[in-house]
Amino acid sequence: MRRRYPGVLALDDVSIRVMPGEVLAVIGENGAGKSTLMKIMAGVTEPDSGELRMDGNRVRFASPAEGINAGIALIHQELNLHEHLSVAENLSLGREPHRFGWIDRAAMKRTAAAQLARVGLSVAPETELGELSTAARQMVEIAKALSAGARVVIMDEPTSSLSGDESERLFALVEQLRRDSVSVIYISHRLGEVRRLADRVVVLRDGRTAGELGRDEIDHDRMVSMMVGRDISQLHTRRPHPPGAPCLEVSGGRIDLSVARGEVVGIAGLVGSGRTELLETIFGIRRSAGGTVAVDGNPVPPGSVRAAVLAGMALVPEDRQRCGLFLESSVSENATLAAIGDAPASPWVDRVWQRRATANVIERLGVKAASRHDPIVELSGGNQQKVAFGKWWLRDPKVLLLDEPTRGVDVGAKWEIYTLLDGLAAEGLAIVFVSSEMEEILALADRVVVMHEGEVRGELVGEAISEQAIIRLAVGDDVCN
Amino acid sequence: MQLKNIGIFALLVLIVVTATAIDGNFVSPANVKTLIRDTSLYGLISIGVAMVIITGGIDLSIGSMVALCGVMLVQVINVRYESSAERAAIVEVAAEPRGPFARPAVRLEDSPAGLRDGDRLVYRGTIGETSLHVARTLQVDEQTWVECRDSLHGLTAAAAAGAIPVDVQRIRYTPPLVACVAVLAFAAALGLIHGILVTRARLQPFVVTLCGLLIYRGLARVWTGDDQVGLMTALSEFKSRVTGAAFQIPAPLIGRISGRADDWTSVVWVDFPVTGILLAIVTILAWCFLNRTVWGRHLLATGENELAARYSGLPTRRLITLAYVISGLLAGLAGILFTLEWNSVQPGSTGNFYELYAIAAAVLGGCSLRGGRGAILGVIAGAAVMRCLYKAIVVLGIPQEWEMVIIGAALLSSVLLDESVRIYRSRVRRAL
Repeated sequence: MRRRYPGVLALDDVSIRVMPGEVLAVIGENGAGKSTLMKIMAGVTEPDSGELRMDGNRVRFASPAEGINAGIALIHQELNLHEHLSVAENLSLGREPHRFGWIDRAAMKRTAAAQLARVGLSVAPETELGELSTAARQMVEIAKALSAGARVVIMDEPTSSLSGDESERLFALVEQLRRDSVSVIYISHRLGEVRRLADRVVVLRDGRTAGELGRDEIDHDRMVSMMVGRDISQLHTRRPHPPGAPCLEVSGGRIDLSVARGEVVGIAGLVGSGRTELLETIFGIRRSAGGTVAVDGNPVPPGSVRAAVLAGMALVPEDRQRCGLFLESSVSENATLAAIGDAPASPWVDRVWQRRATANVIERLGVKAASRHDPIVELSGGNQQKVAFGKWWLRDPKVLLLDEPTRGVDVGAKWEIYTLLDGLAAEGLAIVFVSSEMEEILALADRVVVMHEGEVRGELVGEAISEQAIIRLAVGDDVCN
Repeated sequence: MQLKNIGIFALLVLIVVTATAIDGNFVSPANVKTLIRDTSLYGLISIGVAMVIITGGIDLSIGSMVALCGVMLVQVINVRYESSAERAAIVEVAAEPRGPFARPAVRLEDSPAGLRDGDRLVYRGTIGETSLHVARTLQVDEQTWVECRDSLHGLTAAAAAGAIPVDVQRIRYTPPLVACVAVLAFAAALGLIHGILVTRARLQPFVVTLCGLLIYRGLARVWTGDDQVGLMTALSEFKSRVTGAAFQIPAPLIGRISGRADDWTSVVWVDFPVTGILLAIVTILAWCFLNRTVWGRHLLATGENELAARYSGLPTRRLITLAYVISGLLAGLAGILFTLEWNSVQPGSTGNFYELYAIAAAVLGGCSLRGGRGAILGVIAGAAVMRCLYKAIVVLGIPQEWEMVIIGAALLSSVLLDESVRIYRSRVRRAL
């Protein structure tokens, strides 16, 4: 079995091969191109160029259905199952055994039981899928893939939401697939699992193949150095921000965090390590499971965004189109929404204030818009993000929480945002930002908090901040400094 | 003003001009008054539902709420007559209004003091007990005369033959303004419950208000034993004050067009109903709320993207609840006004489909059912379009059963037009 895909958008000249009965692990940092690669293989997206070969024959998938028919199954985090149907119905969906147009329920159950036995899942076929745990659903999904004749099973972060025991069962299943000559492509951040399961490891970095390790060469340090080993871009030089008095204090619960005025703290960690959840809990969007938040020594009532805002906090969310902006509304309305309640004329809308405030945002943050009355959806990603910033900047916050501040932003705007953040820190704001981009963390943070599975795994300050150290902590390595 | 709003006003003008061209009576002073009144009544509930639609919700309970609030108004006012031991005798009848009398009147002997509007004089006539309804008492030449709201021709002969003994029954009722306040508070409370169920219990607005539709209609029927209830002849002064004309507006041209006058220069006066003033007040308040206050801005933002509103620290749940309270309050107000207008409530049918008329008006007026978009003036125009279409059908002599077909077709075509304009504009925008 062979497949090559040179020159894909997020992938640049990546080629991988999988043999029957081989477990191939694909690893890389967030955004290295793993998911894109998998989606192409499964027929979710098409490559711009390059080709896919199975058994030496060139194949093309226009849709995931075609991929499944050809024997490639993608098991990803959002499972492709129907919660309200039974396990048996899910397994036979679209291929229901029937006689004279009527569904043959007995046959359906029999087949389902056999399929479940094959993956070692002991649930009754008539159980409603919604009642099963994530792990069991994943097994059902794999059983479904196998029953459709899958010869290549792609698993995307399969253990991210599984407990230790559940993971063990999954590993056993992978071994079983290997014995059945099914190829497994295993994507994971967890290097321990990779070391244990993989016959071969392909490391991706920035959409390129960074290296390949055979069975005997797989070890932790090699994998880490291959994942990291890239030139750190000279986009932005880090300027240390001298911290002032403590401003934001998060204590109790599972997280302790203190951020001083003028300090920039980066939160690193893998996708799913709880970084976004941490920011959203501090900001009151999520209820905290114990623990308190204080700004300038004043406790902030938990679970209320309003209270957080009044205490001087601001959050620029990761998904700005869904959580940050009102796409149909104008630049002006978006920019002034958060601050207008505190404008002098409140509760009346003061148009003069609004015009002036919008002009301030546009000028200070360098928003490029044809008119302040334009719907914000017409702006570029970078300019949208600047408005999402400006919305809070108008309120003069004390604490700025940023979730992936430069996601979907072009390089120029990125640089502008970094400069802006440096400026805000110099003005005395306490800034906490989550980023999956190493360069961003290295370029901005005075201190890096690394999270792993919902907990702070370690903290790096000043000179100790390095890509190596961050990755080591992020993948859950116990070597702490 | 957006293109969208111009469209609905243009449609309104088109309907009025077409209907008038076919039959000038469409703009007769009486019809214009009716149009203003009906637009006001339906406009009130349309503004209410528009507030809810702006949040991305829906209120299906309005029609039932109108019926239940109407029933409640009648029941709370609770007109009743107390038989006292008071007696009097009719000694003279003036069957036609004359002299100081604006109505038929009777002269009473041994009359108890202080007969008031609404009190009854009960006498035993040829067909059993009959009531005369007092309008007012006058002293003429030291004789007590009572103006009645009834025809007195049948009494003339009997009175001439000898004094007719009457029992005096005193009217008792809860002061109507108190009752109105109670009804409005009740309606607002129902809206509050809707809001809480939607925002706290996370139920879908459609389901919550559908249950409201069923429950309130049912309660209205249970409360009345499924019988028509009304204020009958009581409280006529209050009724006429609310349903009557507030003032008159001069209207040129329509006298000639509707055939009421011979030349173009004559000006006729059109009654402007009190309900029209209420609508004007509510419209101004709603418009200011939505366009000139921070809360209105926040409400629109919440409707456009509730998640982003929450991330912006807006009190989204309170705002959405507020919208349902406003909708309930206005449905309650409309319930009061409809009841006073028609003088009775039919618990099984009063208000049927009103929620749909209101939703239609809101959609015609530019509210998006997806939320986040709405214009109060457009909604009023939408309500006016619905009422004008309805009246045009009557005036033009189109069989009444066509009403819903025509209104439905008008709504459909306006939404289609709006959608194609939107697509066209976004295509133009993309091409630029």
